[in-house]
Amino acid sequence: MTIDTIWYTRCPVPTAFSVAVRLGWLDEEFGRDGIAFRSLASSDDRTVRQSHFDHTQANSIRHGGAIPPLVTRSRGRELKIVALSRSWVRQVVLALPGSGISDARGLAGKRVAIPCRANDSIDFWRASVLRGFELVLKTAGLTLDDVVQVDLPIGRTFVDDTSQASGGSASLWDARSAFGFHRDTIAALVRGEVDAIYVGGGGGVLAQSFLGARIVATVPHTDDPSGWVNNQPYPLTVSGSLAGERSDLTVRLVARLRQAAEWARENERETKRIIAAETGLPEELVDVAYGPKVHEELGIDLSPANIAALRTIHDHLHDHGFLSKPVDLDEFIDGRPLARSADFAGRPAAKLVAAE
Amino acid sequence: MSIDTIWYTRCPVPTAFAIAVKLGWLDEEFERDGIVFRSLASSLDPVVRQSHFAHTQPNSTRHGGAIPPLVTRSRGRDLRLVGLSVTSWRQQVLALPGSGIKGAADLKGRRLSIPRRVNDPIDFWRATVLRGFDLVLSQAGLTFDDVVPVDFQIQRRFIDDATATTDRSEILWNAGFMLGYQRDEAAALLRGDVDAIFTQGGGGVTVLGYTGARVVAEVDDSGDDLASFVNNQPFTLTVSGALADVRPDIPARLVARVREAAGWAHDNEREAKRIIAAETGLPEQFVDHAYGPKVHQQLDIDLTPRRVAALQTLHDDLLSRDFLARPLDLDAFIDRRPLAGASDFARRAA
Repeated sequence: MTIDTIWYTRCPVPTAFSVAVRLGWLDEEFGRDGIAFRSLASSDDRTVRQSHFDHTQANSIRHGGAIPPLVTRSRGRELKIVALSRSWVRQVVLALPGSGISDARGLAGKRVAIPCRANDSIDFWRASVLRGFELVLKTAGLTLDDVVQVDLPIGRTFVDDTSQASGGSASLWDARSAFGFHRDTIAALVRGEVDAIYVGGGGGVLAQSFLGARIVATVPHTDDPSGWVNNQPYPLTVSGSLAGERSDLTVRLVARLRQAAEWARENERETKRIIAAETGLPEELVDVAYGPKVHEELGIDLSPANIAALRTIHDHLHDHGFLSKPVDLDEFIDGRPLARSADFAGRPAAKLVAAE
Repeated sequence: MSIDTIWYTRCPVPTAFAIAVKLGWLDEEFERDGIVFRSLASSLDPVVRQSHFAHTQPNSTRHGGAIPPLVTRSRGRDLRLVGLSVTSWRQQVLALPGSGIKGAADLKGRRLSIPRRVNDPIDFWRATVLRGFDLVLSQAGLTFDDVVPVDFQIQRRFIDDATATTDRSEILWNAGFMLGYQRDEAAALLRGDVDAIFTQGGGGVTVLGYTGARVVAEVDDSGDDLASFVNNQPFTLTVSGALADVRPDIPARLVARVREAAGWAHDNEREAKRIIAAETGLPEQFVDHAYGPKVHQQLDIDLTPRRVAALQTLHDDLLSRDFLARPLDLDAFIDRRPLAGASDFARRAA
């Protein structure tokens, strides 16, 4: 099968994929074959951009949050997970000063914001918030039944807030989308309609700073990732065609990402600059949101711990009705590209292109 | 006079001073004499930190907004102005969608947020907001008499939100400070207590991000008449009076290094903007939006008649709004010797 274009997208989270994109390594890798390597953001077509969630674009690749691929797979979309990555992320519950809430136990009987994207086909954030609150409440022996869940309907779609940029490698998600991500829950908190909101990662650090809010509870970081992951591990997914007839391309993709993860480990300063740009953060907040060792945590694998963590997310989604049917993870995961990627590890290093 | 420490501070705005600090050039310059070059942020003492506004710390230097030096000088503080810089920056009025406000003319009869920092001795932000709204209103032929200024009190002090880090070259005003800078006004907007707020620099893109507000009016800074649109500018480079009198070589060397840093920024856009992003607490992507794509070319300091005239306008504005204890003689405030003498110290071995 001849492929002239590979489409790709990544979430605004730390990934080796985004590092490889910013370094120009993937353009170069596929340019060898005359294949155009295009971000979904290079198109203004909403359907193309929506493929970030639905994975509908032909010959496409995605590295990011686990929830959309699990949901779209459960609806019958043909795609494969070829690797997983996991990096620490700060997950907290925020309340305004004077709320009277000082810990997870204090959330009992309080109104917590559960946003609901009325016009999105895959509401990954609602699923994340439910999981986040569950994890926090569990630390106090509580469940979602012990709080007042306030549904916050949100009319705008995720794609509405995607970047205006249309450069070939631009991300759909820029600083503007990051700064606005929690707008609705922030307003609800300021107006006194809810007592607490769940936030994670970069958007959470931004929201906390905007509001001068207090962290009243934190998801504890357990040794077993299944105990804390949320929308993680980040799957690297490819269209069925790229896992089948043209799996050679996927093998090369995986090889480059493994190299990018190594490059990140050795280039902390530049990697954090890239992560800041990808997540829409002022650079100094990267460590707060993702931890000081984030540049060492970008490796991809299919370890039993990561697969077990993915199963935890799967089960969470299933329990809350986000899946059309249970997904057979063994069938969903294709371990062959990762196994074969070592064959390509010795390629000459691609040129270093600074992050833009 | 033997000096063992020079204290310094800079505002979270684009300045060549900040570039020189980040490049380590000023540490290096004064190390030659065994002088420690310390940011006010390296102390947690509120009196030391408050010197960012009051310029009380002995042997101190500052580059940033013009209002605090003008105010503290009018109260009798001995400090000298040795350089001025001008950078374009957005000055905007924000309102929520659905407010019915689409342009400056629509501000007529509406409630404008006029914050008052009741516990800050120099409320430069109130002065900035008053002038900013005045500039926008005048574009529509309006004055404050046509609107409803909503005076609301903010208890927290600027230094209450300054960085907790005490590294020697740390800026007092970090990203956390900057992101929350207008939270009180933004909350008033979200609660419907006011109809519009004024914002400047990175504030626009920050506040409209988390409130969903729209830019409904903007100060026109396209003309050549600097005095007609500057606000809290030109950015002033100031030094303690004793430093200027007893060790005039120090301000001259400072000016030399700062001017070289401006030249470096001109030639190193990408790295200069990374520094500006760090200094202003913004993602790099927002630097161009807040300060314009040519900000790296706009950092040089001088004392040209045009900039001095703009400073005079700002001075007169502050005087008319009762922010000054008495009028200032700018000629006496400005010390031209360091700028004139800087060439003696140019391009010293790196």
